[in-house]
Amino acid sequence: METARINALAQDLETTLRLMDQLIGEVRAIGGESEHLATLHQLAEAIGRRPSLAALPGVLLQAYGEIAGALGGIRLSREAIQVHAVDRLRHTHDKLAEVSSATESAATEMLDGLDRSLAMIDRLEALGASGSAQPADPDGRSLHQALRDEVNNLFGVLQFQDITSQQLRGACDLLAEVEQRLSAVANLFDPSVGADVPLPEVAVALPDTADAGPKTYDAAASTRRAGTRQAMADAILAQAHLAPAPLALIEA
Amino acid sequence: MKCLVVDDSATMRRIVVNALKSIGYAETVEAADGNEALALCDGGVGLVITDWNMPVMGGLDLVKRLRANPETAATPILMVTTRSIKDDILTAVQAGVSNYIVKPFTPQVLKEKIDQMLAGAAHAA
Repeated sequence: METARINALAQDLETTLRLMDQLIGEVRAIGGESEHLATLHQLAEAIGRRPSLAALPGVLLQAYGEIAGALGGIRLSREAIQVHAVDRLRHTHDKLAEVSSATESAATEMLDGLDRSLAMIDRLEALGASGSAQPADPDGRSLHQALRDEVNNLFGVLQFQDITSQQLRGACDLLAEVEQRLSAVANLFDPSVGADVPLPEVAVALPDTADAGPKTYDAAASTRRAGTRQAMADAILAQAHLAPAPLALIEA
Repeated sequence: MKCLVVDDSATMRRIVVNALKSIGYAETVEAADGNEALALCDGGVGLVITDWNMPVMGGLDLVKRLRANPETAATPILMVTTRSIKDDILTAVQAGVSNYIVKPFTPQVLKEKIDQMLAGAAHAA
C-alpha cells in the first residue's frame, strides 16, 4: 500500500471526526438540547473514544512500516536469490551435465575393457586347446597377466560412482537451500504457505551447520583432469617436504 | 604389512583394497569413518589410507588424532580424496599426511605413493 494513500486515508478520517464534532457544536449553538442531539453527541464521543478508530492513523503508519520492511526483505531476498541461487543453479546445471558425461565415459571405458578381456580369454582358450605356449605381448606380459591388468583397470574405472555420488549430493543440498529461500519469500505474501518457515532476514544467511557434523561430500569433486590435479598435488607436497616450516609461503 | 582403508563409500573401499592387492599388499582392514579407523589402529596397522569427506569423523581429524598419539605418530598416512585445491592440500600437509592422491587414481599411482612413503619412513628410521 502506498504511503500517500495511507496518509490520505488517515487525514480523511481525522477530518470526518472533526466535522462531526463541529456539526454537533453548531447544532448546539443554534438552539436547545434535543434527544437526537444528545444521542449524536454521545455517538461522536463514543466514536472518538474507540481506540481502534482514534489510533487508526498510528496503526496504519505502523502497518506501512511493517510492509515497507517486508518489501525491503523481499527485495534483498530477490537480489540474494539472483546472486546466490541463480548463479549456483547454473553451476549445478553444469555439474549435473558433468555427471551425465562422466557416467557415459565410464560405461564406455568399461565396455571397451570388457571387450579386450573377452578377446584375451578367447586367445587363452585357443592356446590351451592347441597346447601352444603363451606369446608375450609388446609389454612383455603373459596373456594371463595382461588379462589380470585389464580387470584391475576396470576396478579403477568404477571410481566414477564415488565422484558422481558426491556431485549429486552437492546438487541436492543446493536445490534444498533454494527451495527453503523461495518458501520463505512466498511466506511474506501468504503466511499460510510454509507457516513454519521463518521470514528471510535482511542479510541472507546460510543455514547453520555448526552441529551438522563433518561434510560428507566434496562439492568440487570431478572426474576431469585427474592427471593435472595429481601433478599439482605432487608439486605442493614436494615443496612442503623441502621447507616444512613456512608453508604459508608455498606458491602453486 | 597390514593396510587400513578408510572411506565411507563401500565401493571405494573395494576399489582401494583391490588396487592394494594388485600391487602386492594383500592384508587389509576396512573402516567407514575416522572413529572406526581409530579403533582398528591398535591392531598393528602399518599404513593408513583414508578419504577426506566422511561422516562422524572425517579424514583430516583422523590424521590429526593419529599424529597426536605417540603410538601412531609415525604411521604412514595416505590421503585419497577428490579435494585438489591448493589450500586443501596444504591443510592436509599441515595436519600431518605423508602423501596425497587425487581421485580417480590408478594402481600405478598408488604404488608410487606408497613406495615414496615407505622409503621416507625407512630413511627417517
